[in-house]
Amino acid sequence: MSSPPGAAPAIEASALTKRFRSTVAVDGLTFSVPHGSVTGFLGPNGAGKTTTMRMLLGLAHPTSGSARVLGRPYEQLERPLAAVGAALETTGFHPGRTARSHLRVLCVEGGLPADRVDPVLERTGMSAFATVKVGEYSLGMRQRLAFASALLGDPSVLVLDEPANGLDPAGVAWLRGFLRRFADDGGAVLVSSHLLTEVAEVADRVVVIDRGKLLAEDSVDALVNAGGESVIVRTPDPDGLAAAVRDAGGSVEVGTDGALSIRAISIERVGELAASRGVVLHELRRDTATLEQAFLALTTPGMPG
Amino acid sequence: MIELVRAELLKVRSTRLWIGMAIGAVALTGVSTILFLALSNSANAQANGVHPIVTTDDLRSLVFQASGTLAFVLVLAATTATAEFRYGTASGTYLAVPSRARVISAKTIAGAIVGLLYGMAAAAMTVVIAVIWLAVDGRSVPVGASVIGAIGQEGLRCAYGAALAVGVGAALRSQLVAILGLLGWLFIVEPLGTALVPRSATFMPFAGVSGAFGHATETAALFGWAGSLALAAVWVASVWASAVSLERTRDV
Repeated sequence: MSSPPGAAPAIEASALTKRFRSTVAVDGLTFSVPHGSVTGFLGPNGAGKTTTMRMLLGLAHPTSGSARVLGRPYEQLERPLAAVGAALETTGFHPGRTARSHLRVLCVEGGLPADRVDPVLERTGMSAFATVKVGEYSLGMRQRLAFASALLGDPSVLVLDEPANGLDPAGVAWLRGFLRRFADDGGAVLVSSHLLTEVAEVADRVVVIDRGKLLAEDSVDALVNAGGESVIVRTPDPDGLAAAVRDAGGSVEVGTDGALSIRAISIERVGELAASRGVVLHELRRDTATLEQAFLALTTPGMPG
Repeated sequence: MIELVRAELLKVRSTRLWIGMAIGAVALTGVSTILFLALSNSANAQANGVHPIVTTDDLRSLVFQASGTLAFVLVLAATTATAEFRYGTASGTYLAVPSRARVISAKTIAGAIVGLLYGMAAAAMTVVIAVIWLAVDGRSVPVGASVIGAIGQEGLRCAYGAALAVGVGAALRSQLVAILGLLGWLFIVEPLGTALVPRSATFMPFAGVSGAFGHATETAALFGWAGSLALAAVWVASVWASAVSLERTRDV
């Protein structure tokens, strides 16, 4: 599954734009998804994530710009299901069809051997429900079937739209492990999710969009640390410590709970300053930024990083 | 393309709609055949030009008169095309086969195959019922080549109708609009148009091509068998092309 060094990204969006009458859903979006990585695709509701994914997969036509998967427009892939596995919110199932029938139809359409059906049912924990009509499925079971459909062709690229929706905790953990192994084996994953903690745990990179525009494309670590680390301190003498910190070149903000949030100097230095001034400390800890904070800082005006 | 047609046939087989439509078509055709046979011996019916089945030609006419299959085939074919949009399965289909022209072509061919089977099965059932009815009545009418041909023609008529219905369904996407539109056209618009402007029937998608499928003689006289068949091909190609050109520009 691994790609040769220097190979083109698994997915490339170039100035991708989609207008619906007067609404610009996706606005000049450019990003890429490399092989061997999980890329989280983040944005508030209505940011244009699903529309972008549909354009990547040839289901929606861009107003302008282009999208390439494995170096080609999706429509030009010879056996698309064997190259790209996709599970989108818009992908549906006929309620009168069983999971096995659904997958058998996809196998015939996609030119895949029919013996792929049972392994993917097994892999996604759907074997016991293979002959049950989809109309009787829960959201989680439909999600698993969508994932089974995506894996049917043993692809090297996965495009998943909110794949954890409806999954139970065990399912979410399984999905996380699966995506990690898939990427470690050289596969490329583009996954949108509202569950930022899940994305933070599994993704190597994130693409953040809002109102169709790219806000950030970076590694998770770089994005999270972009706002810098802060130190949280609780003390009965906040004014004394704040003066000492400012003298040492740090910046101080006082939180609503009275705690000091200190930036620009290390936690060790804060401790030394407190000791040297004889300031009693009740709490001293690093305030590690989260992906959620970084996301909110990017997408919510006025939100501190 | 063969694999795609196979996939479309698998889609039809993997839900129960085809069974319901088959039961409906068989029931309607069976009931109308029995009614025709029961009433054809009455003096009242004969006074109205309905004659008992005596010759092979009578039996051939019965195949066409008793057929109620086309309406069920139209509903089935339109439903299979529009179900992709109603249930959102079109996304999965286009992910597997990005060429929308190929998908619609495969659906059209698969619909025609299903229509052919429905039409032939219902027509054959009419013949079987009639032969049994006549035997019980102590009569015998030979089932000649012309009756076998009528079964084939009825199959082709339903295949044609299904091919049209698939195109209409793919173009309109809405199940309700497609079904009501097709049935409304078949039972209201065409008969009304034909009654008001008789010459318009010549080019209508159902009345105009009936000469090719043994249902009428007026158009056959105008076009001949081959001409009617050519008109049928033009209608199917036009509807297919409309559906493809619309679908190519649409998002899923």
